Amino acid sequence: MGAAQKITQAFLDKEFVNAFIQSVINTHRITANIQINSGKASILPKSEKNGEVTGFLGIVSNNSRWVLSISYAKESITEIYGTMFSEKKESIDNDVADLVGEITNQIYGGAKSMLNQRGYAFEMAMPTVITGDFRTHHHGSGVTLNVPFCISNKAYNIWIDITASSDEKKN
Amino acid sequence: MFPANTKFLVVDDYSTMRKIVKKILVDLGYSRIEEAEDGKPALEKINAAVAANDPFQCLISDWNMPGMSGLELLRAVRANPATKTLPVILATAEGDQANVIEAAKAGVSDYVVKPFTPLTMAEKMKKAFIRHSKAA
Repeated sequence: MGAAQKITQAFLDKEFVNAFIQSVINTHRITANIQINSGKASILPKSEKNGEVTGFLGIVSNNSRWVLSISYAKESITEIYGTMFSEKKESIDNDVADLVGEITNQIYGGAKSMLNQRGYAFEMAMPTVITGDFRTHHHGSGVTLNVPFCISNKAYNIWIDITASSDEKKN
Repeated sequence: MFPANTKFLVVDDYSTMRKIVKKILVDLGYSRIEEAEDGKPALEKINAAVAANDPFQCLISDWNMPGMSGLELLRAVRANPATKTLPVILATAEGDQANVIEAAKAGVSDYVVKPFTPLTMAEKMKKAFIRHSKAA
């Protein structure tokens, strides 16, 4: 089986996908006191541009390179910030970007703990936050798992992407 | 539980997390709270406070920071006779068993995995206080 197939198989593994979905929901419920709901997960050939602010984490594990991103529409992250700190934000400033970085860190930490018990070898990583318009690209045999989320029953405006590309050619 | 006039140092590279921990402490009735954004400035503050004869009485630190990590900070605190008994709580997203064991070996007073509720943090603080009171 090729590495790209192995990655796709990980994305088809319900427990792998659920570790990230559960960690996204737990982090928002506990840290932000906000209930968010997940939509249908899809496997895409490449990462799509989603919200206006995105936290990224690059990880190396089991001969694969993974990028976890969580992306927020402005209205969703400013609502979360307002709920947490009782302060209304009109734009995505440094405080909001900092919040996205911390949430990304917590989501990864939660999923990592669950997955490492199942034989993965995810290690510590530091998030990066990007605001504004961007598009991500990956090389070689990569695929992306995309899961949308929404606050209460509003339209989906939070997304996680887990993009994986293999190091197979180097082996 | 720590008395109301306890002096806290909250260390995290994310201002969000410092705000969250600070709010928990304020809601618990504490007001002597200082912050640092990495292990190195935290250690400087800890040593300066000892020199000024007004030492910190509880340290709540993140683990994963870009300069000096929470674990390195903990080891530095334990290595200094003037601060070796300082209660240290590590608050971190790293919940793996190996991390918990590593922190315990380094002498952590207690360990809280993010995300955590205010109640969880209060319980960890209570346990850390009891542990250090017994040791004193």
